[in-house]
Amino acid sequence: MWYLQFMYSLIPDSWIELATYAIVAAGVTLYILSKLVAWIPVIKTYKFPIELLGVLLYGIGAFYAGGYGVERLWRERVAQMEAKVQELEGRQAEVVKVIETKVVTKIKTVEVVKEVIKKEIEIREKEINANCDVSPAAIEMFNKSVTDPELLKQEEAK
Amino acid sequence: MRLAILSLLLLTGCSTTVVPVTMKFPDAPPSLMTPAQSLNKLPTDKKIELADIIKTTNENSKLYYELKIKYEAWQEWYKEQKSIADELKK
Repeated sequence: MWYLQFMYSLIPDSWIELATYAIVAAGVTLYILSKLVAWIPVIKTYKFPIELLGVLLYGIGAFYAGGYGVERLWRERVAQMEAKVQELEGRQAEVVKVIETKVVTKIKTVEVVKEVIKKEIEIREKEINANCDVSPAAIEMFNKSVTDPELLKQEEAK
Repeated sequence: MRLAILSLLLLTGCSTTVVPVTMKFPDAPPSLMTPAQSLNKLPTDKKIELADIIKTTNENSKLYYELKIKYEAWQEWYKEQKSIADELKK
């Protein structure tokens, strides 16, 4: 079966298109002819076979012409969509790259600012700690407030 | 008449359907895939002073701002990728 498909693929598309239209044209011509032969006494007995052949040829031709047209439109549409998808996938990757750069830059800024504050706290440590005693309850509450609420709930349940 | 009916029947096959071309799901920026860290606690094995609390709060706020950046980045990523995906449907 594959060799039939291979042979079919060797025929130029324009030839196939032309052949289908030729079959349609032959069908229509035979159909019209079948109406005309009714007036010619010698061949009027062939009216029905000619009409039948015309309708059959028209049907087969229209089927293949339509199928070929739909196939061609379909292929064009798929090619268009593939090109669009390729372009959009490029943009998706570009968005990821831009966001990644933005996030890394912003986090770097946060780290720098927080490091400066940490150093400032260390410099002014004595001034901050003067006249201030931190009670164990304050430490306990601080740690409780920074604990993951779900973990805290589990610990309390035990 | 017969020809017209036949044409009509044959043309019913020429309806349009959706093209089977799909776009791959977009990747997420790698920095947004890292797990969130827990907040820092005060050490309980040494004497704690006010400066220690401020230092720990500073560290925790750093973690918060990092997460805020990532959270906003996720929202931006979603909006951008959605608008790109919507373009394919047009």
